[in-house]
Amino acid sequence: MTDAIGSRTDGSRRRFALAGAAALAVAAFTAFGFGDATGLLRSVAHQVPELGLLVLAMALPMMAGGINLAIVAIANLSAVATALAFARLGGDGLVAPLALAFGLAVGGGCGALIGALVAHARIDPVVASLGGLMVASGVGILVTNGSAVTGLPDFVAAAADRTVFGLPLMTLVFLAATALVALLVHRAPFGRRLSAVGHNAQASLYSGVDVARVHLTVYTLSGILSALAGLVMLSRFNSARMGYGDSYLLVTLLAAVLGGVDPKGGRGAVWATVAAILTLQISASGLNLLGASQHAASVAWGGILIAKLALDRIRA
Amino acid sequence: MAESRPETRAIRRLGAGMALLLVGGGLFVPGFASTDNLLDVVTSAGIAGLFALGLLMVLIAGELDISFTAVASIAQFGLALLFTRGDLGWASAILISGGIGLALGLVNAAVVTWLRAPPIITTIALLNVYGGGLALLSRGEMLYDFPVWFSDAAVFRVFGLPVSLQVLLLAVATAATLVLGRTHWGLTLRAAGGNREAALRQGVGGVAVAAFAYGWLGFLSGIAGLAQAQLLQAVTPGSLIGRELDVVAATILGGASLAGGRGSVGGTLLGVLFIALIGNVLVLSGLSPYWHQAVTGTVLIVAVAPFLRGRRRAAIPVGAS
Repeated sequence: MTDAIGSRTDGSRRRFALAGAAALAVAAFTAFGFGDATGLLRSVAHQVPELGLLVLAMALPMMAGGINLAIVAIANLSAVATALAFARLGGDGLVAPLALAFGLAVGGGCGALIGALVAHARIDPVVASLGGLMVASGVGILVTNGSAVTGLPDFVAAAADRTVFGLPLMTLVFLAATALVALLVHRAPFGRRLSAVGHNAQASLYSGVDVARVHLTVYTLSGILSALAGLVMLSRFNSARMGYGDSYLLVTLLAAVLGGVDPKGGRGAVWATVAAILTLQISASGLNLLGASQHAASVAWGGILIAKLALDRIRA
Repeated sequence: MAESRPETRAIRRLGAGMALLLVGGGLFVPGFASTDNLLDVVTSAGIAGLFALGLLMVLIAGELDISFTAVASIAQFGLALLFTRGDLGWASAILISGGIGLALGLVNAAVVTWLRAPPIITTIALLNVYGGGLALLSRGEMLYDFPVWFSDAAVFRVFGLPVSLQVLLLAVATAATLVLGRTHWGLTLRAAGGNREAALRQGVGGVAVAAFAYGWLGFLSGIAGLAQAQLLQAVTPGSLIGRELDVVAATILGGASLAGGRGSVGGTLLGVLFIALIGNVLVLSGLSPYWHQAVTGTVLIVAVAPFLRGRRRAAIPVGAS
């Protein structure tokens, strides 16, 4: 149980999570027959990219021993920023990449603000990200008057259905982001520092790790990943509104913890968290097809999170 | 000159902010300076105040709980269900809602202490289990049509005496001050929150401290649920849930710290009132109410940021816990 982020012994965890995902997928297939399976898969494929990006946005700060409660608010604010940019500038030519970049920059800026509070003002991540959450959602509500921003160029909604090499574009975006994060966390020197800071920030500081910089990087990345999730949501809903995905916070926490991210920091496997969100989303869609309500999912996710923490506690 | 305590500094800063708001509001905002309006502000802050005074104990003990709005919802729902079955008096209403809250608070204490995971994560899970469970059981239905004595005027009755929400808040604040300043329990709580390891080695703290803090919050959440049901004369499963982070913000604004050991009753009340006042001034001055959250968040960040900057050298990097 001493897998560090940078080490390769994460493999056991990863395999475990992948096996779980596969098992559940098979179970879902057999349960609903092949007729419904495509519907099931389609609904999963629709939601996994945005949720998966949010899970990465949550997992990174957790690996550093923190948390980012603002991910959903940042995602929505970034989507609003991009949508407003489209509304102001139209969607021709160079404007589209600019509007997208604007959204990502807003997300990165929010993340950097939280990161600066954590890194330089030494504020507890819960409070720092709570402040960030209030400011992000407050500003978002202020500029939209709490309503949805619509009237986007056609290609925004079309992007949700676009496929590249037979794979949905959004899934590819998500996989690329995951691969980058996995490289950073598991293969780059940064991963070692991240793991060290997550395990014991004070010891890391005394052994020459630039703790503040690690925090700043982690929260900025978390903001950018949230913004990316926001852009995916913008495309899927063809509109932006503060308050989309309000129930995502719990499920991202759960996926991160199920994927082996230690809530106390220091440990985590990127691909395993992806497998975890896949598993959760398949079971959620399955439950949904069975007619269970959103509230049932709430209870189930909360219960599973506590059960997983209890399991870890028994094994420790 | 000795450095003042962080609680005192928080109160001073909040006091200055309040004075500014009160003077500015009185001078420039029509309708602000009336007794009725100011009493309305206190009433609107009443429920949040009860929660915040509960959360204060938990924060001082170095813990965190955000499931309290769901606990309050369950308590008021239980109460409303019993109302439909038979007639209760004030005393049993208080005992029932407070008792449900206390019981759930103790469950939280047990779960959080035993799991040893960060309480923010554990209690987010608990919030969803409680809130989702309640929504499932109640099927989202609204309960109303309460007995006459419960609807009768905006007052509680404790032992036959009428008690308004403001008086209730004051009474709870007094009790909290006494517990924190005058009892063994209060000192133990502060010691355990300030330095858990040292406190444990002195033979102080552990499960009992958590049980006391979470139990106190649970009990007050139950009472807050009762008070809100009385104010609205209706119980909806989702009406309180979602306000928990605002309460956390108010309590932190009042000088409490997630690191534990810090916080005062006066500061907490000021924090809650300050946020309510900001909202009131924004609404009365004709600005969009949508400003409220952005302003509150900014105030929170500004208030907390210089707080720890002064003690940067001594501070352990966050996340080390």
